[in-house]
Amino acid sequence: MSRFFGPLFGLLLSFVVLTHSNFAQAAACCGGTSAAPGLLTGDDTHQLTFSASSSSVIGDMPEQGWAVYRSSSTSEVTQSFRFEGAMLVSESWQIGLAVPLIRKEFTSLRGSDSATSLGDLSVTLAHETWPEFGYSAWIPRGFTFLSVNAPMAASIYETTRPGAVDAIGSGFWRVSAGALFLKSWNSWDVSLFGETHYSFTRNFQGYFGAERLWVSPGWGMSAVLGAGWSFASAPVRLGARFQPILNQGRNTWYDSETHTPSASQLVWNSGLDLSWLASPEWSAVAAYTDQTWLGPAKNTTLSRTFAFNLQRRWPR
Amino acid sequence: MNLRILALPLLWILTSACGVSPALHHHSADAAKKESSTQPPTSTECPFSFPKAGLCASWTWKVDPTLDAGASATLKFWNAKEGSPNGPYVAPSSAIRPFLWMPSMGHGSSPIQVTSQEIGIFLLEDIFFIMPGEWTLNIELKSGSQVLEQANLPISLSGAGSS
Repeated sequence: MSRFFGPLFGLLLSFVVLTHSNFAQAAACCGGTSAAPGLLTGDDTHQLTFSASSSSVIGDMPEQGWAVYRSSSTSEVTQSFRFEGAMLVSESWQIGLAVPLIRKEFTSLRGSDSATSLGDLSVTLAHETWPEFGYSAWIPRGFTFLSVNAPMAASIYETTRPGAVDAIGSGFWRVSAGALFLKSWNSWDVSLFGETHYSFTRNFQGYFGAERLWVSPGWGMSAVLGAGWSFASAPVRLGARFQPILNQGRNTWYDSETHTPSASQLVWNSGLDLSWLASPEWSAVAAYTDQTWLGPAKNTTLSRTFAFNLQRRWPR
Repeated sequence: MNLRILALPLLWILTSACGVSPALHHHSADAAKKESSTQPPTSTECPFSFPKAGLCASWTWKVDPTLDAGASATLKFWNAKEGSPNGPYVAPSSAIRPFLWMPSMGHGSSPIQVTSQEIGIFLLEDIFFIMPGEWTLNIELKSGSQVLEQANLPISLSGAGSS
């Protein structure tokens, strides 16, 4: 274990970086995200996290065939500033809230256009279901959670701007549930996260004149496998993570007609992280996430994301 | 704690990653532009058919669709029995609404701007294909807020293997 700040060093930083999964969206065009909430995983009563990220769409993966990388004359960049808080409400229960501010910019031969909006809000209830009471070589520390995602920004079905630059939000209420497991040995740490989510059916009035467009996104799931190594001579951790995100095809229909369900989506977030634990109260993370490294990908955009995270914790 | 509950997500991660990496298998947008056919497949008689209204319509690109910029097109209507793709053109008695739809993704794109140029001829602008793949060009005939008829044609904007 790192001699810096005790055995929770790796665990703290390993989970801070997991939240960066939120910045690498599944299908950037449509506001789809993974659902990794920021949880209190150390011996803290509450924490505040500020994250800034910039994500560029590199290409697109169709339903079949190879990916198509976009030309240099096109640029689609999403910048996100996310404020997240979590606090203990009892010995093992905690609640959290995430508020993102998102700016999306689309540049082409035609010119440049941008839109800024509050992103989808997220509220989380979590429980330390498998606490670590004593040493075990294999048994991890585990948390379970339930999150609700509230749509705040315009979705692809509500866009009014050329190039759909204002399609920032998912457009749907979503509930997700999952679990997080953390384990560290000396300088190494491993984390495993899994969640499943369901987005509720919604109609968009006026999309097709007076007829309502009904959209049912349905189920999806994601998982994160992360590992990291903490330097013995400095409070620094180097980590890697892999995260597949799978969403079922959407059912869409008019009031008077039935559509064929769309195809499912699959994308892989692969990432590297460099973390610095400045003190038991402060930490910072620089992260890179790439959706082109691993496959197969299907029916999605492909992005590369740079992110920075600053966290303040209040120990018990 | 039963660690076997960790097996499912771990197994899914490990097995699902054994696939084609987009970084190693991709085309550039310029190559996709050359290989794709962006003209709607047309019959010589009636590309977009509106049997209830007795009309036909054609969709001709003025600025070809790419992923780089918005496209524009001309939409022309004629009487199905008395006219032809070359005219004479007639104005639909109902309002028209063209839009894009991507069946595989289950969504469309931003609104298309419609300007009437001459009788039966409309200029369509700000046609944005926000990603490559299989799309449909759709035209609705509306009376007030009610959709009377709709016609569509497939169009592909992708790399090798599609047309």
